Amino acid sequence: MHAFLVTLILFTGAVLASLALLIALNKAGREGREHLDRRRRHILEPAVFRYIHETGHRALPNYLPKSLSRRDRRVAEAVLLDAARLVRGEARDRVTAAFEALGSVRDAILGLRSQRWWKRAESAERAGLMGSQSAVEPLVAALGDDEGEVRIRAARALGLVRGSTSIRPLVGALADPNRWSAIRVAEILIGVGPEAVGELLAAYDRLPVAGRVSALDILGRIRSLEAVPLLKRTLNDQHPDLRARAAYALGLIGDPAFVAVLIEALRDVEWPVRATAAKAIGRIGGRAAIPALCEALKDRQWWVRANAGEALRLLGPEGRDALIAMLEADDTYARHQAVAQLEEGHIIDDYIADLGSPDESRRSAAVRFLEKVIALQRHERLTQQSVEHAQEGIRRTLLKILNRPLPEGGT
Amino acid sequence: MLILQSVLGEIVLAFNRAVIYYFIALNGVYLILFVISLIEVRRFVKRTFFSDYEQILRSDMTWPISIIVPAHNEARNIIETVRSLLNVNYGQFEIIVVNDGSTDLTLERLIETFDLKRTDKIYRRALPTGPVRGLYATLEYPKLLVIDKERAGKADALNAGINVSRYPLYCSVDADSIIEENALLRVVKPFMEHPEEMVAVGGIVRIVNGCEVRDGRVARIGLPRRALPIFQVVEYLRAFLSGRIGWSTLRSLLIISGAFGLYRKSEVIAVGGYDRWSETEDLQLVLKLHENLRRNKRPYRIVFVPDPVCWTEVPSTFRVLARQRNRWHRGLLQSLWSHRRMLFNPTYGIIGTLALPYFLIFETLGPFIEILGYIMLALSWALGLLNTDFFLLFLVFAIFFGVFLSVAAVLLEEISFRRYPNWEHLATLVLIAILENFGYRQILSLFKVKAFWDFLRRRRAWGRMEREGFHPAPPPPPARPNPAGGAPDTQGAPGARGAS
Amino acid sequence: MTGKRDMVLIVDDDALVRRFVGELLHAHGYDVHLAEDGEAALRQVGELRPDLVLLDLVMPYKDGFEVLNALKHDPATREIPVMILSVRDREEDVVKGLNLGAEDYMRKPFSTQELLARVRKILDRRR
Repeated sequence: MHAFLVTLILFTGAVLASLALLIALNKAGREGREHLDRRRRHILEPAVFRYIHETGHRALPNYLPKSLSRRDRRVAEAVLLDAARLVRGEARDRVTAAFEALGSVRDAILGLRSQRWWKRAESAERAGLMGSQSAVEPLVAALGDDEGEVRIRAARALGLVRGSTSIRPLVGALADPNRWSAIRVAEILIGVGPEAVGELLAAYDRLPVAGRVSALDILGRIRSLEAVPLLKRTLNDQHPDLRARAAYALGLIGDPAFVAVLIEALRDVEWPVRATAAKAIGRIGGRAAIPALCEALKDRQWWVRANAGEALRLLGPEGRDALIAMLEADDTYARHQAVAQLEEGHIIDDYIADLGSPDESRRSAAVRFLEKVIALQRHERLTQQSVEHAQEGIRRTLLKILNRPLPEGGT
Repeated sequence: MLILQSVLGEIVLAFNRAVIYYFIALNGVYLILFVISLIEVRRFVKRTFFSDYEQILRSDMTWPISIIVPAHNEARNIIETVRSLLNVNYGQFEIIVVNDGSTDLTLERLIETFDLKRTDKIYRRALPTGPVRGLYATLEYPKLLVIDKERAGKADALNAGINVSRYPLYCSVDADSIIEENALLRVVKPFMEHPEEMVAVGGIVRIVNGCEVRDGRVARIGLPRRALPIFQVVEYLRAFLSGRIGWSTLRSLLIISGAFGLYRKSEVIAVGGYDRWSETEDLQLVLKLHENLRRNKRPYRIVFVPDPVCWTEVPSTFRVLARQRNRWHRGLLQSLWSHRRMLFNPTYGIIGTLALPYFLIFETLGPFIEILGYIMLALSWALGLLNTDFFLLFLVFAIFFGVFLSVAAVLLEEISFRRYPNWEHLATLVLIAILENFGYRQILSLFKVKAFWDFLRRRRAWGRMEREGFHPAPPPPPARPNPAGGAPDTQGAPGARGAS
Repeated sequence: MTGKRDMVLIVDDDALVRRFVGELLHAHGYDVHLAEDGEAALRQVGELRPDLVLLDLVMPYKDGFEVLNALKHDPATREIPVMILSVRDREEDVVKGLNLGAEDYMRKPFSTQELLARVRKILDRRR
């Protein structure tokens, strides 16, 4: 027993000591490496930058010391990777050429076949940043990797290299149930722009609902006119998310001719569709939609009311007049939404300013308007202006209006 | 007399053996959690080698988030907190500060600094709360909304914030904590990776004592000067890096710190929001979520991201620490008691059979065994029964094992996030990791024993509140809002930007 | 480029960008100074009176818009041209930057030759 215990204690002590040692060695090793890297970088970085900044035919090795250690190559590659993120145009091409000259592209392609998934993911990322066409084929192969992180990095890398061969697998990757990955793919496709439209339209019917949502969004953000028939058709899709996205995308494309179908969508049974339709009309600025928007101001859903109100506010004088008219709507929510939008659009302030106008009719119109606002018990702005407004006359008039007994009603 | 002494001696020795078994079991559990965490942290660090936060940030398809900040007498911190939140790196979000009946100038300072105006906003009271005195907003900071309400506690303030919030996800943030710039991106990531299943996400809370804070962000990381907070730094490292990551991997994370957590609003409303009677409303909420989802046999995830998200101040005096731990432990006991039907109940899966029993045995009963163990050790020494072998055995399993795990937590930090860059910091952390097993942890156990006592004394009082708190809980709302009717409502599901 | 060299202050919180752009402008005969955040930038503009400020937008403590605003509201520095160089590529940021008084706006990643041409043009115009 005694011997066992002594062994046990010695063992625990040894484990503890080695643990502490492990921590220290880990840190010391890392810091040592970082220190050496920094020292080499100090020498190599200006040379690499000089290479990038110049024009001409001299390749990178001419700027660097004659014999490069493995560390030097790694450091130079790190500098190039940093620079690759900063530049485009001719300088970017020089960076790519430098990667090729250093042999980094070959290394990255080899790394794509590593046993460890994070090596593969890292290699894919590097290959993308290097931007070399020779990496396209191995990257396309990596799109079929077992590890999700490798697939997404490969997709992203292909987006950076941008050969048209890479668009199809990217579109396919929209089907990934992981939204984080799908968004990253979507952003790449938006970056690709009109070139991606054909593949998106061709693949649309094969995609699951979440993928279609992304596809509609991408088409909207690319502002693809070729997608309009699909978008209009989708407004009648049975899935509400798709209807909503299609409405939104039409708003992004922004042709006034869409207003008619969007007015239809304002009467959808699902509120998210109504809300996005209102938003889209606001973006397009379709005056024909004013009556429908006024109707939407009475919606049971706050989002629909808010978007409809915003749309009216963005429609200029006619929208403003509609909002003012809605102050007398029989629906409480519509009245409140109208005030909120008038406040937001500084229209209440304009009327307050009118109180000081020399024109009698404008003054009385302002008083009538402000009384309606007060009747809705939305007098915060007025109360505040009655204290803070620069003109004393206006302050006094406001106080007078505010202190008048309420006609009747309110809410 | 001799017989009595020998009987007493037998009892003491038997108990001593039991204590050793207890420590072996306890530290064995910790060891398993540590190994799981080690694997998970390595994986996580590799995964975030290159992050694509920039891309996600720009995307229109990221989910909007409502940040809810309950504030009671926070005049000193609140402006800085709101400023730091306004600067958070995220696409679409809103900040809702809930002034919980502060008696200092919390509300006044907010109104003055951000030029807030009283406003009317119609919203649905999905959760019952205490009286709301008013809402404040300003056109200049459209993301900011302040709710002024009568004092009714943090849980009630959070519920009021949930009622007013517009977005489908909300993030609860303490008014005195400092949020890392990318915190929202880090915690929303799991939601987007598993859009159907994710319900709540927590992250690592770090200790701000000793750090230099400038303009609402941590400008220079340092260790606290005083002893007590340093002990807590190591304790937090161990709790977060090797405790919660391990539990999260086992799909049975029970604690998401109130200082920072992201939740799916509809699920929280479905369980009636936060409970006013609970001393630790954050723990209580997570338990309720687990209970509800397990009972309905829904696939779901509540996870922990091993990524630092926020910094908070910890007690630097003994008195405050004692009060804080007393409250935490009583809260744990309350929550365990109110979920006692889940204990050892296989209907609730791993939560019922593993996580809750762990909390019952090691967190609530454990401290008694531990403290008694020390007493017995002293007693057997006094009775002349203590032999060196036993004492050494006790030392190995009760103390050295603990030292190993504390130092291992420092190792985890060193291989993963390395937020403490200096050698000096690291040496201090290792030293404290050793020292915390000689005194600090025993004191924490004493706090827990004391809290258990307080809990038993007050149980009847809060038991009444518990029943009151449970009944008015509203029925769960339908999964999709019914467009044809219902109260006016600001509960945007995925919002006006389409349900992606 | 006769006599005194034109002085450019590069403001960016990213050391790499400072070194990269610094090296570029230095190689083309400019007198380059660097500032790593908004506050340092304002201080250095006051002391050095550069001929051009190259300004990043996303920075800690004081972001680019705040710096720009401060420069354009101070009669002593109002005349110093500012060119924004930022990763922010949204239309509203560009419009806001130009409205606040920036001479030019370039998005990162950028073309080095284009940057040089624009810098040269701004400085020529001022002469």
